[in-house]
Amino acid sequence: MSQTRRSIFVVLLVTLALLLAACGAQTPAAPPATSATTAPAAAEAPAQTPRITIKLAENPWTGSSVNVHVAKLLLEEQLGYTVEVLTVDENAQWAALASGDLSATLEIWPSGHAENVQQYIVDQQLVEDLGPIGVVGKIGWYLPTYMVEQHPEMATYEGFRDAEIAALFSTAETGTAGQFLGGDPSWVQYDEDIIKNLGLNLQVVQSGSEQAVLASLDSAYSRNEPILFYFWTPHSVHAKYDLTPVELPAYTDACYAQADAGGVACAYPEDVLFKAAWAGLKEQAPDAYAMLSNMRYSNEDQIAMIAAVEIDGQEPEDAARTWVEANEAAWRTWLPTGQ
Amino acid sequence: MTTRSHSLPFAQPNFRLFLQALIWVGTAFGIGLLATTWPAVPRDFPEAWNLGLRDPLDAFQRWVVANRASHPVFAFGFTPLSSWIDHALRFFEQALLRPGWPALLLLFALLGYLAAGVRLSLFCAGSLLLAGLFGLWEPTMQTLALMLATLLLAILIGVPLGMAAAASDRLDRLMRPVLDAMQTIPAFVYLVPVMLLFGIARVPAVIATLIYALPPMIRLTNLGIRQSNQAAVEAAQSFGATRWQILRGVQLPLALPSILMGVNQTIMMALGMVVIAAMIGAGGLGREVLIALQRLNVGRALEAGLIIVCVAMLLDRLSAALTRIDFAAPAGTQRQDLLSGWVAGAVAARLSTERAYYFQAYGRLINATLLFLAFLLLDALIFQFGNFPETWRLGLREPANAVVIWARDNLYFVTGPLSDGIVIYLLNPSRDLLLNHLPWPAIILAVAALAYTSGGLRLALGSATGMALIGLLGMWTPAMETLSQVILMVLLTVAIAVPLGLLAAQSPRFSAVLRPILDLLQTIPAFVYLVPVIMLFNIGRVPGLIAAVLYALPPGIRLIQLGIETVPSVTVEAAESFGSSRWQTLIKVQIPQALPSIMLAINQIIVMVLAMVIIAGLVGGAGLGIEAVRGLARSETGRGIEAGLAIMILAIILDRITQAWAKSKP
Repeated sequence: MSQTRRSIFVVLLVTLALLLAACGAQTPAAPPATSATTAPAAAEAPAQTPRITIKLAENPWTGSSVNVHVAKLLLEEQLGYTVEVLTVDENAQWAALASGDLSATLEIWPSGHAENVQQYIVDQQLVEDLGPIGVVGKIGWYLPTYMVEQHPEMATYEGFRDAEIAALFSTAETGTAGQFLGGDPSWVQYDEDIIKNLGLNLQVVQSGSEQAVLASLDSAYSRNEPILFYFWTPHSVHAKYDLTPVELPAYTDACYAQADAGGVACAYPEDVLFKAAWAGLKEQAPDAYAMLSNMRYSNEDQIAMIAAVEIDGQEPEDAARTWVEANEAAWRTWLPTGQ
Repeated sequence: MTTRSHSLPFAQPNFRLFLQALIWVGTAFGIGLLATTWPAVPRDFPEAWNLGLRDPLDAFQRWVVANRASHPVFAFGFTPLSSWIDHALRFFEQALLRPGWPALLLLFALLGYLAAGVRLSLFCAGSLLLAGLFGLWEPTMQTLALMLATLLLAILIGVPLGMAAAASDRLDRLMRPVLDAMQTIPAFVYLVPVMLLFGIARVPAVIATLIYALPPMIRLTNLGIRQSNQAAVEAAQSFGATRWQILRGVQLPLALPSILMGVNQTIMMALGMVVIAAMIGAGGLGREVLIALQRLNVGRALEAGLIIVCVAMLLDRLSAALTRIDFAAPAGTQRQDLLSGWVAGAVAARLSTERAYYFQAYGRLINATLLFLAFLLLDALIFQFGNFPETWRLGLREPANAVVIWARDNLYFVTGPLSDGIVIYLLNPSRDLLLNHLPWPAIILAVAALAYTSGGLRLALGSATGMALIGLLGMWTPAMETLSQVILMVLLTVAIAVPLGLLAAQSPRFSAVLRPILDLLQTIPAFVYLVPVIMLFNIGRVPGLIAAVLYALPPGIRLIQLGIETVPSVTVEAAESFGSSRWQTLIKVQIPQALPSIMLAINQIIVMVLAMVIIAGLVGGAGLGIEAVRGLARSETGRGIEAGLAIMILAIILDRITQAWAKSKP
């Protein structure tokens, strides 16, 4: 009968033990988390103003990881902030940015976030656009290069008007039409409109996620099989597989003016990747805000770090450290004047 | 026909029931076929009838976003609440991360040893050691802390609520649909709303996990108390015990096994949320899985997935063993093992009998605590172990990745055509039937007829209303796409689960081999095995089908095995004494006797399959899954909620119909 009471006693004891463990062993066991030796400026950083903790959003892809770790290194070592990195889904991050639970995110692909930009930045002004990160992305239709080598007509969209060419891409899901593998559902996709308006013999199959596309690509590529899919650059996938974009009619504003009516019949626009911050950051941490606004590097800078992580197996922290050590002149210009 | 059916070995009413169902479904589909020749009835649900739920929902979401900083509900309600929980959670996490790694190993080994002996002790320590060897020490501790906190909250909230529901029938009736909704609405749908209210990272992760994992805790506490022996309660009443005394002294202890089952279920379900929680910043092992899959590194995802399985089994076995053990049993009956005697024994020997009692009774616990504290002290002063040594590594990822590549290169010639066959001969016809051949009123009618045969008029009306509601939500087409897949998923799972369950019930050796595999399938995140499945089976509806079958198999097999095993041995022996062979006994005696269990298994299979609709959407399954994912993805919370509600309605209808069917057996 009193067994319940005794179990409670046991739980209490265990909790006590855990508490003791937390307090008891903290002394020198844990090594210093931040590398204080490499932070000459940290000591001089103005300590009198109460500092908020900067929380950076790391989206689960390598480009985002290296951006965040470059920013983290500089915010900690040059401006003396405490930085917390939170891994969070790129769509889920908006609500947290609006409330200040996240301070900033450093790699937004405009094509994937038109609705979010409209709601949070334009309408409600709770999130602030911090300008481009410097990397420019491009969405397109991709094929393995071996397909184009065998059938040069696949290099442009006109090739897919030919039912025989399109039928090479047919699967059980699409029957006689060729299969066009759509992207992650969060991305803006006009592929159904493009296919219809250009009169192509293709049918869109929703892939559901980026991982699903990558897995299908890997499988088809290993057997030299046809696959046509929605993808983008820069992405580490291009280092692993030899892919060729299908040429679509050039992007024009006029073409996209009819987007809502289903009239898109041209290529996707360029994606100027940008950073965004919680609207309160400017006031709460002006120097961090200034640094993040100024932060900007090229596609090549980012690709080199991505390669270090994905091909050489480095941790994103280390790749970022290497870049920071080699490019002091570049990041010096990001720091607010007087630092 | 009736005369012939008398000679059939099946239990009579069941067969008649089956016939009845057949007639009804036949009628409904007859109407459907009639309607196909009558072109005026549209295939799709009329769009003009859409309730338009998403606009007010989206407007509300915008309002919350805009007022999150200033409105008193947030400023004095949610924000301080979540920051308080966040501090507690961070503290919990630090408690696990601060001590050196051997201290943690020792702590869990001691807990396992205290609770159940050497085997559990080795399993607990081994799991943590494996986490360290995989280089996952820190994320494992984060996940463990989050899970422990969630479990604690689930018990603190779930047990009182379950007790209240047991005490009041009205509350029970009121709570049941809420619990159904919590369990069937996919987490994807409420991730963003929970984030809006509770911020980012640990707190919303705990809340979202609780929403999903709390219902079994409440349900099983309720069930346990309601089923507690009436005679014991009356005896207590006759001794003049108050209601509170009865509850605490009689009913709760009697309900303990059931509550324990609730804890077990809650753990399993909570561990299922680890990857989804990582999408809102919870970190831990879920983050490792997400990042590994982003780089298509199946081996690394598998390592993290296996540790998730280990943590689930560790918490499950520990919680079960800890509550089973009676720490304060009289000293004489205490287990004598490595932890008895020692300091507590020595102290007890010097004290008077009365005072010595506690040192004898709690001797093993006291010794274990002292041993742990002594080790902590040594660690802090001398060893200073700190983090898990980085040079100790055991990699599973290279061999695992090699296996995946081997499978991709060598098995596709079988799996590719198999996948195409499933699409062409199974999935396409079933989708055509629901989306192109049958007009919507015929489908509603068919569902209502099915409900009527199994549960009567009320269920039929309820089911028809539910189906119509799906249409009114504007989700008819995706719902029919999903239903067409769900039917096949359930049939396939049943087709595999029944023979495996029967086999497991016949052969203890097979059952022993099967058990760890089932544990693994139930707790490993589907994301881990989906990448190789996509590589082998082509993107589209098939990978989702496979994931759903794999996820629904364990409970299905277990319940069928349990059903066969609980057939009284007297019945079996009687049949055997009449000279029936093992096969005949199985077919004619055991299966009919186990039919309620088998129906319950089918019911569980349906519920589990519907839980995988979202995962199916993420790998090309389309339907309601992708609608719900889009809701999160495009900040269209309203649309996501509509899709989530449609999944919930579908799940509840199918659940009620099969439950009524299972119960209708006399």
